[in-house]
Amino acid sequence: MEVKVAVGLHARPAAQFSEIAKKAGYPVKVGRSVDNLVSAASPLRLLTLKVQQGEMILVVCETLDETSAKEVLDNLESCIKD
Amino acid sequence: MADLTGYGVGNDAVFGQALILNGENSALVTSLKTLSKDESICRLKIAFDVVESDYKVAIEDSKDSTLKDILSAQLSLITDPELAEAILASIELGKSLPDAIESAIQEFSSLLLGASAEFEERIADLKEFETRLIEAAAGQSSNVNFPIDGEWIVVSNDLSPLITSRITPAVKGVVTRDGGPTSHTAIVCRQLKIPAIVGCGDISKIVNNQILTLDPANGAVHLGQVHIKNKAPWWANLPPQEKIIFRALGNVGSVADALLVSSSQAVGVGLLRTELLFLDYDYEPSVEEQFSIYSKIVSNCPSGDIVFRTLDAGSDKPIPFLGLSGEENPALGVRGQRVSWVNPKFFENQLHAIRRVATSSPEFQISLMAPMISTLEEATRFSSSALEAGFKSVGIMIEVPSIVEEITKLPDSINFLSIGTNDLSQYLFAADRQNSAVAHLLDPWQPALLQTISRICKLSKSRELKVGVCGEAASDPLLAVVLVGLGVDSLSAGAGSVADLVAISQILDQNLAESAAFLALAAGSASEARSAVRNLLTPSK
Repeated sequence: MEVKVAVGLHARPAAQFSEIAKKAGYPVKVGRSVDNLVSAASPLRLLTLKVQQGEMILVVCETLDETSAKEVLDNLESCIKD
Repeated sequence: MADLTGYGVGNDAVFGQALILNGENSALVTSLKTLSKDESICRLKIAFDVVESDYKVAIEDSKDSTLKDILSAQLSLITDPELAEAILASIELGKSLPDAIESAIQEFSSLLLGASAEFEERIADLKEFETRLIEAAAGQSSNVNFPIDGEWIVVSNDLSPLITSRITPAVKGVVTRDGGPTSHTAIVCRQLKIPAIVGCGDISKIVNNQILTLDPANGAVHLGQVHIKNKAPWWANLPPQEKIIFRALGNVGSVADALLVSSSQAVGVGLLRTELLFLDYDYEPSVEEQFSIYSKIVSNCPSGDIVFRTLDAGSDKPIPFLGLSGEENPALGVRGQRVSWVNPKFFENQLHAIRRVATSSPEFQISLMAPMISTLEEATRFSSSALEAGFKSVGIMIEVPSIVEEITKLPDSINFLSIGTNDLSQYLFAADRQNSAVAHLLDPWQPALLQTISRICKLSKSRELKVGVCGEAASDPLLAVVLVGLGVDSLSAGAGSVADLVAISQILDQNLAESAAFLALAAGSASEARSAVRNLLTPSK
C-alpha cells in the first residue's frame, strides 16, 4: 500500500498504525520487501523503516482469517491516508 | 572542614535535603552502575512505570490538543515493548543499567539517521527517554517543579533565571557548580534571600536527598548536618547617628521585591530592573501592557525615589521578542542600552510607558537611567530622548570604563550616576562574569575597582552629580561602609539585603566610613582589603 500522509510513516501515524496492528490478535509485519519485515505493532520499529511520503510498503497479516486480514489492512491503509 | 567551597551568597547558615536538578548527572549514573542484574531489571520496570505515568499525567493535564498528540505519540514509543526488550537483552549480556539504556537508545537512534530531518528529530525524543529512564531508575523526578513541602537545597550545574523564578519557599538553599559572585544565580538568590554557594566546581559528590549544610559566610558546603551559629552582626552594637550620611535603597525586579523593599524602611528604589519582567515574552508588550506591569510594581514600592532602568538585555540575558541572535561574546556585544539603540521603537514605547507611570503616580519621584553607556555621544543621545519624553531626573550607569573619564563633560541634563559594580568589574578586569575560573578577579574588594569608584566620585563632585552604587557590592555590609567612605551618596542593594543596609545607614558616621575606605584603598589585594576593614569594624575578631 502507498503511504500518502505528508510526513511519511512518522511519529503520530506510526503510533496509530501500531495501535491497529496490536489489536489484530495475530502478528502483522511491515517492510519494503519480504526479507525486510518488522513488527507493525512496534512504533519504534516502524519509525526505523524511515518510510517517506509516496513510498510503497508491504504489509503481511500472519493469519488464515481473510475477512479479518482485509479489515485490518483497510484500517491500516486509512491511517496512512493523506 | 568544608566538603565543598565556593562563593557564599547571604549570611545565615541553612540545612536541607539535596535536590539534584541536572538531568545528566554522573553521580546518578554511577549509583546505578553498581546494581546487580536482578536489581537492574527490577529498577528498569519501575522506571518504565514511572515514566509512563508521568506521560499520562502530562497528557491529561495538557490543554493544547497538538501538545496532547505529541505526548501521546511519545508515550506509544516509550511503551513499545521492543525498547524494553532491547534494554533487558543488554542487561542479560552483563551490561549495567545505565549502559544498557544508553546502548538500546543508541541502537534505535542510529537506525533513524540518514532519511530526513523529520526522522532524525525523533532522536531527540529517544535521548529524552534515556534521561527520563535513568532519572526514574534512580528515583529522581524529572520535571523542574520544586517541592512545596520540606526543606531542600537545590543542587545544579547552574540555574537559569527562568528556573530560579519557579523556586518555592521549601527551597532553603542553592548549590551550583558554575558561576561566580556576580553570576545571575548569585544575584537572584541574594534577591530572594536564599543562601547559596555558587561556583563550587565538582558537585558530583553530592547525592540526591542527602542532608547538606550551607555556610555562606564562609562559602562552605558540608555534607550532613553541621551546627553553625549565626552571630549578631557587627553593626548591632554601634550607637545610632543623628545625621544619616547615605541613602539606603533597594533593587526591585518584581512585585515580591517591591514588597520586601517596602518592609525594610528603605527610602526608595535605586534600581528598578525592567528586563526581568519580560524574560518569557515572545511578543513585544504594548505601551498599555508595560504601563500596567510597571504600575503594579511601583504601587508596591516604598514612597520616595524610584530609578527606572531601561531594558538591560543582551544575548546572555535574552528576551524572546527582541530576536537577538547569538553572539560569540555576548558580554561585549549588543547589550544594555545598545539593545535599545537597535530597537528604537521598543525604546520609545518603554519611555512612554514609564513616563505614564510617573504622571499617574505623583507620590513617587520617578527618574530614568540607561545601562551600559560607553561614550559621551550615547549619554547625550539618551538624555535627549529622556528629556523629550518628559523626564526631569535622568542618569546613566557607569559600567564601561571608557565613560569614566568623560564624566566632567556629561550634558547638564544628566543629574546622577549609578555604578554597576558587577559589569564595571567585568570590563575593568577583562573577566567574564559567567566563568567561575576568573571569579577571583571579580571580587568587589579588588583595590583597583575601589580606586576606580573613588575616581568616579571625585569627578562627579566637580559637577555636583549624585553617585549611587546599585551593583552587588552594595549588598556586602562591610563594603557598603567603604563605598560611603569613597564618596558614594546612595547604595541600592538586592531586596534581600536592604534591611541590613538600612540598619547600617542609621549607625554609620563619616569618620568610620572614611577610615574603612582608606584601609581598603591601601590594601595590596582583595582579601587584604576585606580583612583590614573587617578588623576595623569587628575588632573583637
